[in-house]
Amino acid sequence: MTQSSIRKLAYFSALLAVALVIWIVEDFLPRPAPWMKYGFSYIAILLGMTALGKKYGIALGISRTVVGSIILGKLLSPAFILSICATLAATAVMALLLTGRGKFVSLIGISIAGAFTHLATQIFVAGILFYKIEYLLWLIPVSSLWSIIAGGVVAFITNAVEKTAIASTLQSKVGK
Amino acid sequence: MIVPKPKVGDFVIIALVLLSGILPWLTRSSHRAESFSIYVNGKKIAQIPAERDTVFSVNGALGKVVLEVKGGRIRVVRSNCPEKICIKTGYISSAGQSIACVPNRLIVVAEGKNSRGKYDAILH
Repeated sequence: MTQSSIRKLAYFSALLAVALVIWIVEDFLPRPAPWMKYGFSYIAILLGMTALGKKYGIALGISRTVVGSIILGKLLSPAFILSICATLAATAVMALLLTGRGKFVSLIGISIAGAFTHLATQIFVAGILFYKIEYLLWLIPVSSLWSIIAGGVVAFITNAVEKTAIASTLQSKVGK
Repeated sequence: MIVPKPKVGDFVIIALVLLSGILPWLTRSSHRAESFSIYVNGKKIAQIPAERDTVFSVNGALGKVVLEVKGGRIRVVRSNCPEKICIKTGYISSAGQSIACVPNRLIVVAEGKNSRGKYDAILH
């Protein structure tokens, strides 16, 4: 293991801890619907994605959902299945859009696209596994509004954190 | 600056997200429900006509769920699920609407004569 990969592992773990704490605390906060969370843990995932690399971002998403579900006792429950599918889809979309960052898209678009992908995937997977899809389609309008609000806020916070010393040391220590 | 400099792609993404949010509204039928179908675990267990007011209960995965039909509308009155989302949904009355209770594996669907929409099929 090179020194750089050990550093990456250390930062990955730190970001995972941040994502987990936010994800678990958020689970107890009031929200419009149980499947509509604020998604603040995506701040840590987005930071990991930009500072460590896209693979690390996707790994952060998967680890957050799996470890978080173990802690909350929801592992392999229907909610977990929806959550892991949605996280995979959302992180994949964000990783894809991140290649165009600064060129034709900023964090706002990346974050909103990720948020909407997360919510839409949940609805479609629920439609395939648990219900008939046509009965759940009316949930899409609410999700689209919510993802613009929540995704926008996540983008602003991520952008603000990126400007601080934490993120710049992260970037310079790991070195791309 | 806290706000990132927006790019063209951001507006495209926001427009796409809003558009996909409007689509289901456009295809939604506004027909009044003629009957309500009740599914538990994906299996249809009852179909109740909308015109007769009644209160009845069905067995969900967690126990009895009490439903009420009143004035062509239906709602969940009592359920022992933890989050009571089905109760908070309130009344539904248009064909195509639904009430879901995930913990009870229960779904109530309002059906009309044309619950699939105005057309049976569209050929291009």
